[in-house]
Amino acid sequence: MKKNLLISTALFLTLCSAHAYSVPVMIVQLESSAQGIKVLKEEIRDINYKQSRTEEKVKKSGKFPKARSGGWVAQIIRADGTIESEQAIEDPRQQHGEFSYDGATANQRVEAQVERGVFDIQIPISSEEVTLRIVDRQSHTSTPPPHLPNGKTSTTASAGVNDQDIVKGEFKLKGNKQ
Amino acid sequence: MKLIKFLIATLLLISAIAHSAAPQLIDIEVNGPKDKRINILFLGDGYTAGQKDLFLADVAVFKAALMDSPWGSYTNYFNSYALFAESQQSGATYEDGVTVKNTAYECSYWVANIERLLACNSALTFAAKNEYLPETDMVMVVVNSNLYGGSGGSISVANRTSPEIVAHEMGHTFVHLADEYDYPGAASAEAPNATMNIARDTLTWRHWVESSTPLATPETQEYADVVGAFEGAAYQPVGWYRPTLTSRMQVNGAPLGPVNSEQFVLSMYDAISPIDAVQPAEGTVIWQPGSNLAVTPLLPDNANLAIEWSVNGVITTETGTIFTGSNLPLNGTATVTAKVIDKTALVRKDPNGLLFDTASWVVQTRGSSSSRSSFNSSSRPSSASASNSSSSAVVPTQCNWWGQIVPLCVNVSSGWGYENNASCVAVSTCNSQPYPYGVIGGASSSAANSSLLSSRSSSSSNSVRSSIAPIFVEAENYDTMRGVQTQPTSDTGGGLNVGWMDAGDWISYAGAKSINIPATGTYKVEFRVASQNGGGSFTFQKTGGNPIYASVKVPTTGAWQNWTTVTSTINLTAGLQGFGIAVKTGGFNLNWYRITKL
Repeated sequence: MKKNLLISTALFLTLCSAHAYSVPVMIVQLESSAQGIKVLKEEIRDINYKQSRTEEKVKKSGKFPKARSGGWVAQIIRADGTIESEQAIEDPRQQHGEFSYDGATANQRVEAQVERGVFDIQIPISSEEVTLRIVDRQSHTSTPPPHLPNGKTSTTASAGVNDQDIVKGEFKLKGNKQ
Repeated sequence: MKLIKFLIATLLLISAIAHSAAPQLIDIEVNGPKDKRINILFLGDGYTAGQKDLFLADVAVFKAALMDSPWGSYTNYFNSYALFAESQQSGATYEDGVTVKNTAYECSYWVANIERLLACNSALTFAAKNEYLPETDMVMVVVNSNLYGGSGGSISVANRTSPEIVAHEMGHTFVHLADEYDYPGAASAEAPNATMNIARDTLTWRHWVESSTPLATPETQEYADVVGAFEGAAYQPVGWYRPTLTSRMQVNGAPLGPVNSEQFVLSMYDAISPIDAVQPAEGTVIWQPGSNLAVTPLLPDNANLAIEWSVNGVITTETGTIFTGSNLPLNGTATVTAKVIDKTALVRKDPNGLLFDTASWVVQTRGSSSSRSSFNSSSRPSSASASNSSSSAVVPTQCNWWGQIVPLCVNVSSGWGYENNASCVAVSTCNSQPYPYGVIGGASSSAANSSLLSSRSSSSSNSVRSSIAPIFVEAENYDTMRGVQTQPTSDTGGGLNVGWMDAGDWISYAGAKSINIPATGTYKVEFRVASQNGGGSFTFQKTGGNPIYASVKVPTTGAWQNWTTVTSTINLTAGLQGFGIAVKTGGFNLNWYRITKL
C-alpha cells in the first residue's frame, strides 16, 4: 500500500514535470520564383521547438551533420562563417504527382515547376547574427567504396558520393537575443 | 432597381465575409507536449461551413493511413491536429476542368496542364501552419473532392479519397526515403533505401539481408517477402537497387517493408526522445529519507522498452520507472543514470544511438546512520536556495545557452541581465531551453564547488574503501563518440556492443557519463572484446588523452561475436572523472569494460 502510494506520488510528480518548453525561434518565410529567393516574413516567436537528436549527437562527436546528399538544403551559418546546421527542404517550386488512379502498379510520375513556391525555416535564436543560405545540392555518385576489414562503410569509405552546392540565396538575419 | 440589387448583393457578400468564422484548430489526438511529440497537422480545403464533420471524418481516414505499421506501434509519440478553415465553396478549382472555386487554400487540379496534379497556394498553407501550429512536423492538405489527385513537396496534398498519397509522401518529406520506381531522366541520390552498391559487406541495408539471399536479388515470387537488392530504384531501371520487391515507396498502398520501416522509426526518434519526463529535473540531488528518482518513458503501445538504472556506471538491479537507491554510497556523491531503451525488432541498426536516451543526476548522500531504503523526498536545488542553505549542494553558476556557456544571473529572475560586468541569463530562462541545453549542474568551477568536490573525494576514499564494488561500464553508454556504431550483441547478457571502430575513432565517457573512482590506487581494467581477424589496438585514457592508463592489443577471436576479456592493470586517482577509449588500429568490437580496485 505504501509502495503504491509512493509510486502514485512519483508518477504524479513526473507527469507534472512533463510540460512543454517554449524557446524563442525565428520563423523565416521565403518565396522562390524565377527571380530568385526572397524573404517574405521574419518573426520571432516562442514555440515548443524540437532539435534533431541526430544533429545533436553527431555534433558532439565532432563531425558536421550533413542534412542530405542531393536536393535542396537550408544552411544556418554563424558570424564566423562556420555552418551551424543544415535542414533538408523540398524544392519549393517543384510539384510532383507520383501515381495514377488506375492501379497500384502504375507509377506515372509527373513533375511541374510552378511560378512561385513558399517555404519556411525555423532557426533557434542565438546570441549572434546568423546567415541563412539556401543551396541546391547536386550529388554525384562514383563507384562503390572499398570495404573495410570489419565491414564498416566509414565516413571516408562512403564518400563515393560527391556533393556540389549551388547557392540559390543567402540572407543575413538579425537573430540575436537581447 | 439595379442599384437595389447591387446593394443587396453587396450586403450579402459583406454578411458572408463577416460570418466566415476564423479557422479553428481542433485536437484530434493529443498525447503530450508539442516539443515531446511529433505533431501532425491536417488542413482542409474546399470544405464549407456546414462540412466540418465531413472534414473531421476525412481526417480520421488520413490519420489511419499514416499511422499504420510501423507508426501504429507508437501512437503515443504523435499529436494530431486538424485546422478547419471554412471555404466559401465546396470542392477544388478545375475539379470539373473549368470552374474556379473560392476555397481556403486555393487548391487546384490541372496544375501545369496535368489533371491529377492537385496543388495548393503554398503561401496560404504555410501562413496557416505558422499561425496556428508552428511546431508542426508534418502538414497534409485534404481536398474535398472525389476526383483522384495530389502532389508531394514540403506540404503533401491529396483528394479526400486518396490518403495513400500522403502516406507515401511522408516517406520523402519526413523520412527522406527515395522513390523505388523508374522515371527516366531524373537525378538519383543514395538513400537509406536506394543504392548503387550491392557488395554484401557494405550494402547500406546489409543488416537485413540473409547470407542465402543472392545479390542482386531476382525479381521472382521466391524473394517476394525477403530483403535483398532488387534492381530498379531512385528512378533508374538499372544500376540502382531497392531493398524489397515492392514497398510503399514503389507501389501506392503497399506495406513499407523492413528497411523503410526501420527508417520510419529512426526518423521518429530523431525528433523525440524515448524519455518523456524525469523527476526531479536532472542536476544535483540531495538524497534524503524516502528519496527517489523517476523517469517516464514514452512507452510504445507494444511496450518493448527497457529501463536500466546505473550508479557510477554500474548497472543496478532496478529496472522500473522509479529508482529507490540501490548501490548508492552511504555517504558521498554518485552519478545515477537512467537509460531508457526501445528494444524494438523494427530497428536492427541504430548508428546514432537514437533508440535510447539517458537522464543523469549527481546524488549526494549524507548520514551513514540512515538506512538507504528509507530515504525520501528529493528535489533539485535552485541556485538561490542552494547557496543560502546549509546543505552541501553544488551551486550551478553557468548556463549552456544553445551551446554557448554564459553566467547565470543571481539577482534577475527571468530573461537576461548584466552582473559582474558581464551578461547573464536567469535560471528560469536558461532552463526554458530543450535538453541538453540549460543550467549546468554539478560542473561549476566555483570555489564552493571545488571545495565540495575535494571534500567528497577525500571522504569517499576513507568511508567506502571496504565496500568498493567493481565499476561496470557498457561500451555503448558513452556521452560522445567519433566514428563508431552500436549493434545488438550475442555476448552473455545481450544488449548492444560498439563496433565499426577504425583508427582515429574514439569513445568518451565524460560529462554525465563520468565515472567516480572511489579511491586512489591500483585497479584492474577488463575489456570485453571480439575481433574476427585480430590486430586491433586501443588506449584507455583520461578524457583529452593525458594520461594514457593502458595500451591494449585485441587478439583474434575468430568472429565478430566471439568474445574474450583482456585485462590491464592501471593506477587511478580518486574522484569523478572522464575516461576515453582511442582506437589506434581498428577491426574489433567492444561490449563493456570493468574497473576493479585491487
